[in-house]
Amino acid sequence: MLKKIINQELSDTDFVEGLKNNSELQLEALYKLHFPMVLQFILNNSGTVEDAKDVYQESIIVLYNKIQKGDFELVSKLKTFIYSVARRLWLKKLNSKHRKTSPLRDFEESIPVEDELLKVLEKEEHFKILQISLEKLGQPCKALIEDFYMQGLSMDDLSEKFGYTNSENAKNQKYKCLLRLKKIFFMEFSKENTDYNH
Amino acid sequence: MDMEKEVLDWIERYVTGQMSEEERRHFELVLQNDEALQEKVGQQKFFLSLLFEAGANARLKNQLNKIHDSLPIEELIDSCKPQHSKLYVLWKRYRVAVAIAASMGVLAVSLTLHYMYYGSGIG
Repeated sequence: MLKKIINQELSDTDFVEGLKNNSELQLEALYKLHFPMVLQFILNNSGTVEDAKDVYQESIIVLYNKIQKGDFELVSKLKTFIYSVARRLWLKKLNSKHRKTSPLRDFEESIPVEDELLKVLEKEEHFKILQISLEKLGQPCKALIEDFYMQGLSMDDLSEKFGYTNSENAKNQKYKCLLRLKKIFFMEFSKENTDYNH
Repeated sequence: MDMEKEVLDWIERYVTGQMSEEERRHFELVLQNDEALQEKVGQQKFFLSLLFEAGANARLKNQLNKIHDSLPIEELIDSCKPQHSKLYVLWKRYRVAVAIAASMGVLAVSLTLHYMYYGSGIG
């Protein structure tokens, strides 16, 4: 089935449509189509296979979220967008590791993605604060929040898993946990001195 | 405390789109004239979106890892390194065979030399 999709040579428009509709097959086809390009770029710019995997997956996640939000326009080839984001992310990593910053060896044309990068970095910062807050929250609250809000388990699943007598109890517990997490989060957040209003 | 829980529940159902049409219209009407509530909704929306997004990203990452594991990674690496000539690739693939052949060659030569010098002892 996947081979068939690849052989049909899906167009960029097909991929965008597929990702919008959460098509696993199209995600897989897209992933396999462009990974070699990023691998080649990273391996020839002082990176490892593991680096290529990280940078590529981050770029795909950026693209995926943009498409899901309806915030993506095909102004360039999909390939160019992925390459440009991956390239920019890698440049950032190279700089932060103080590795050699000789000019990058390029294999594709690229477009400016500075705005994208800023958004990604800001989001990463927020995720980091969330992670810290979840650790501070401790168990069982952490698991409760992760299962409900992040894994999408239902209240009934939660009552069963955590041994609450009914889903109303689970709901109460979940709210207490969420309130505490929120408090910790915004305290950590103000430490970082960032603004969430944009 | 209970009041706050109630408001949070309200906001959560609002920002996650779980309100009925009528409920939503009512909520938005209240919201219009309540700046404190607007602030709370904004904060809660930001916070919940972050939680949902973190969860969605973690699930997506799992999916991508599964796809990644099915890639023929060695083949891809080989085809990415233009500095490796065809000869290098052949060498990498057949080096064991070449090593065995070479050692057999050495053995053959040394046996030949051996018999050339001491061969008269046999026969």
